[in-house]
Amino acid sequence: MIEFKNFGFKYNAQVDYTLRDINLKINPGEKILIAGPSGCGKSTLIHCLNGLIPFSLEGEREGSLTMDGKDTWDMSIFEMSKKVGTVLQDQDSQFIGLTVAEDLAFALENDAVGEPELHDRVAEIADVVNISSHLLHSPQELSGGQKQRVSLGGVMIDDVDTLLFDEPLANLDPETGKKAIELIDEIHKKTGDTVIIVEHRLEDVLWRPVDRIILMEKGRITADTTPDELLASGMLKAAGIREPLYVTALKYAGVDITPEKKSASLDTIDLTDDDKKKVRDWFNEGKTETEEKNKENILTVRDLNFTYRSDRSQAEDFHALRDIDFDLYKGEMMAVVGRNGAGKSTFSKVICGFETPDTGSMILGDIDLSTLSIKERADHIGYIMQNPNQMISKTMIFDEVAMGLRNKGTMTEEEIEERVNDTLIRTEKEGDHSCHHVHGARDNDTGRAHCRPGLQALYRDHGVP
Amino acid sequence: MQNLFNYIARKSPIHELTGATKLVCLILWTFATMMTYDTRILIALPIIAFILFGISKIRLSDVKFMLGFTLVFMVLNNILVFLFSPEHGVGLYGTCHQLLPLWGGKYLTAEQLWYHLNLVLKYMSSIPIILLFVCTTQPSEFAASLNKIGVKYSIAYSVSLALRYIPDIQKEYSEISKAQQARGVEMSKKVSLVKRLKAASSILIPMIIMSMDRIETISNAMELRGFGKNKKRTWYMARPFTAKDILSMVFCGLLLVLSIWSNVSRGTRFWSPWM
Amino acid sequence: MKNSAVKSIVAIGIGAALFFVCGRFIAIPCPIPNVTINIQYGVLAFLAAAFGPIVGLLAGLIGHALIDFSWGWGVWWSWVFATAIFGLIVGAFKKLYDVDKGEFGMKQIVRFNVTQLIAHIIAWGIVAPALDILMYAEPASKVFLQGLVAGASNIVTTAIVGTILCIAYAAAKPKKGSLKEEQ
Repeated sequence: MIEFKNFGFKYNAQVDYTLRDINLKINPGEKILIAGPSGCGKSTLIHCLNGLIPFSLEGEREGSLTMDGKDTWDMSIFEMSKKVGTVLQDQDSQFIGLTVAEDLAFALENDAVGEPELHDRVAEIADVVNISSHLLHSPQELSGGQKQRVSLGGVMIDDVDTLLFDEPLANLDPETGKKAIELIDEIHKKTGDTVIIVEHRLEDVLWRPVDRIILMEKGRITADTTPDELLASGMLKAAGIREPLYVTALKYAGVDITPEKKSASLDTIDLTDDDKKKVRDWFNEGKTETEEKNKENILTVRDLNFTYRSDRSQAEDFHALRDIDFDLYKGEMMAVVGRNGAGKSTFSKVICGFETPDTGSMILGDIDLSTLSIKERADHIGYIMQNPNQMISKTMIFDEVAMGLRNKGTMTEEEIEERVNDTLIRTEKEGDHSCHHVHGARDNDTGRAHCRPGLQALYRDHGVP
Repeated sequence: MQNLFNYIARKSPIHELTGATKLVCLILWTFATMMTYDTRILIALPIIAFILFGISKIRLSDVKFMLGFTLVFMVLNNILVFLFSPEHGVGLYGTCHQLLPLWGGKYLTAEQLWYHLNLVLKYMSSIPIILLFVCTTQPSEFAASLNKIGVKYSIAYSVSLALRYIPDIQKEYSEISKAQQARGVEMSKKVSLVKRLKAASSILIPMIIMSMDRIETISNAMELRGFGKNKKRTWYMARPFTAKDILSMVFCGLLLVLSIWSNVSRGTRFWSPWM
Repeated sequence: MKNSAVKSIVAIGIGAALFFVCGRFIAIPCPIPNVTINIQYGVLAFLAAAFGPIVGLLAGLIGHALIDFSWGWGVWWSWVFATAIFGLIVGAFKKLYDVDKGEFGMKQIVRFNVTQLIAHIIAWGIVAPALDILMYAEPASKVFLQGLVAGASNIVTTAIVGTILCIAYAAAKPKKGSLKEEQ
């Protein structure tokens, strides 16, 4: 059993406590979900549970945290790692082996487990997480879902009794995410391990039942209850967590969500006849008209094809984009959706000139994009990368935003200053902050860095984290 | 991306040797070629190397890319040596047979040509063996091999981590570089060298900051899975030695002994027909 | 820091990978033909300044050896050792310009650059040519000139790239007790 009593924690680099007044009991075999908005202290809580706090992240604590009756501050990280297995959010950092088999074997190798046990256990666990056919693949050859299964296998091989998942859905598309949740549920049932999932994509986690949801806000626990109770309470919305879409829809229809209606899952939901009528009525009146606007075509793409050429003869070429035709109209907001690997990012890279298409034309207004360099296209198209960290190269926000204008070399420093300040005011940021100190806000900052007047199209890769 | 180091999976007696054996053989062989300038040995080594190459079923076309670079490197190095010290061979061999007058009162000598022949032979003894090692050793097995021949497992694991993250960092570099180009960072010949270096830095800064975060996360992940717990660790990819392994190492050991013996018995590293 | 041992191991691995990628794939055109600009030495100097001599030594050694391996021309050990010695020396004086403390002003910039200058001179003016003569019996004038050219170009790149990286990293690093919650 894991028990927090009046627990609080403050990092050395911080002025304020990140966690405060945490009182939480997690019983063996329970499956719980910890949810909360960015910056609520979820990650810190995870570090406390897996032992990184206090072993590698230093700070001050108050109250106590015990695991099976023992104070975790008196345990070594190795002792902790035998009890709690963590699947990190960053799959590429968790996958440290050169191949799947080596990564699965990692914990056993460290325990100096010899042959034939080493190979047998790896084969066994690969079967459990359904990755046996890829044992000799490198991480670069795997999809996000596969990498996650390897991570899971890599911690399960240690026979831990608690599995801790840090945002397991973060890098997965909805379909793969569902499969991941199913796998976690299956393993929970099979092994009887305690499962702790930390995630804000509530609806996806609830695809399979959980015993309790812990809601966190600003370093405190604000709710510790069953999913049915929590969904009925309206606290999620107040905390800024998206509730399941069907719940929102039911509320729009005027249905009063109560714990008795078991709204945690579409399989269990129990609506009265009156509720059903409300939903039907709401559906029937909700037909919206789509109006045709006067459209000015801004980007025309015809017959676009792109293939990733492999650099060596062994690997195969990958035909990522096939015969793409589409039009974008001025002022329009358009979303490109598709599952992982569908070619969304490739498409944006081709538009921005990072990759050169095999065939096809891209006309922006009356300019043929193929005649423009990456830099010249950037005068018309702003591109925000999936990983904002890849774009920030200046220390201060002001300089980061000003960089593109300065590189153009056509404006005076005063003009630049005026425009940058204007942009920052519009986006509510102060330029004298350091980019890297603004936690969780980096993503938006890169967006600002590109909000320059004169852009004709703003392209954002994976805008919703 | 295992292919950066050009591992080619085929079935051959060389592939079957353990990585540790091949590493030991590579080291012994390299020292054997490095120690001596005894031309007789330097002729024998390439012949053996080419036979081994044949046994390994690695074809010339598999390595033509790497071979090309190496040949350019070899030619350049020979030219440089010649330009800087056209009578270097005379000093080494202690005899002088002038063939043609060169610049500044210097002569083209038979000794110089002999020295260049030896340099080329040295390349030809070592290159096939290195290519052989690279093409027949799975990168995964490399770290385990280092540990087996006595390198501390923590350092061996650093090598494994480097191999693991090179493709990721390479991809990251190309993405960042394009994003920065889109924002007007110029790295081409159009701007001054200092500007180019500054441009490179603006790509390196996000890379370094991300790498520092990554070092943090990876070391956390490794600690959470018990890395560094014991004095020893096992390796999934390690394989036990067989008779063939022992035999190969003994053979390469003998080559080294031969090379040292040739030097010691004659009191010099060099050999020429005029000595 | 209790996990500094594991962290150093990871820093060596990632450092070697960075050194490799910079040395193998980043081509910066240079006015003198056949002389490449080795920005990897700026990266190595930064890593050594951040993590110390062991990381400097081994990241340089592994990174450089892997570059040589990947070209297939065999490991040119004399130059690999010179790189390692450079990393070692810059790392050995880490205390003079500790980027981890989050301060990298004029004083640190001067100290860092004097150290890297001396380290490059030792590496390319002494270690590399001496080993070349010893191991490969090459003419002294040739190896010293090669060392001179390489050393001079590396000093310039390290001065620019290394210094910029140190400044940027020190500025990005949060200082103790300096962060307030911000939403």
